[in-house]
Amino acid sequence: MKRPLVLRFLLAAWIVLAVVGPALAQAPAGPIPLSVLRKDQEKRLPALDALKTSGVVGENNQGFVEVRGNGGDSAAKLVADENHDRAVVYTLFARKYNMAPEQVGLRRARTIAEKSKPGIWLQAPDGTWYQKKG
Amino acid sequence: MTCRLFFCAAALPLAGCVNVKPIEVKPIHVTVDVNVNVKVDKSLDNYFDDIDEKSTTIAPVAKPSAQPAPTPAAP
Repeated sequence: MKRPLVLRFLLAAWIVLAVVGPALAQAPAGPIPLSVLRKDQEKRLPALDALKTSGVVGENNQGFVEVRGNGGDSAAKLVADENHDRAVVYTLFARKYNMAPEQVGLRRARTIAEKSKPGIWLQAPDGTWYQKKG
Repeated sequence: MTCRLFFCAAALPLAGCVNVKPIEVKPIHVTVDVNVNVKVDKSLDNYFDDIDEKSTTIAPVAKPSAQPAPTPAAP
């Protein structure tokens, strides 16, 4: 018995959808939206500010935060999460403007250094750490 | 045929006289870089401004107001 061509095509399409469909439904929807990232960063801001004020964490010259003192595992986790989110943001803007994420990080580091309040630890372009003066 | 060969041979030394000056494109490259940096800074500011405003470790940047500041009255 020979099936018509259209019927065979529909049968093949149905089989493909039945196999691939559930896998596609479980796949992540795509990159994390910036609004979600920003909310996460705002949530950890008070804890990060406290660490920066106490001098345990500083802003390095690449646009990321670094543990400088003994902050324990919680500080390390907070810093890692913050740096992950910053890296995603830098990468998104880097793709948009066709440049390296490191360059975007450098631009952000410059702004942070300018806008940081006195007492915050910053890393100079030459790698040395200094406390911002008033 | 001999005549053509003669002309070709005579024209051959002239080929070395063509002088091509290199085109200078550095100023254009610099301009593009500056424009991209300005755009990146603006995008970063748009994203981080809300976070920076809530931060206690980053000083708020004074935004230029539309109206001029009132002048103090003379004593």
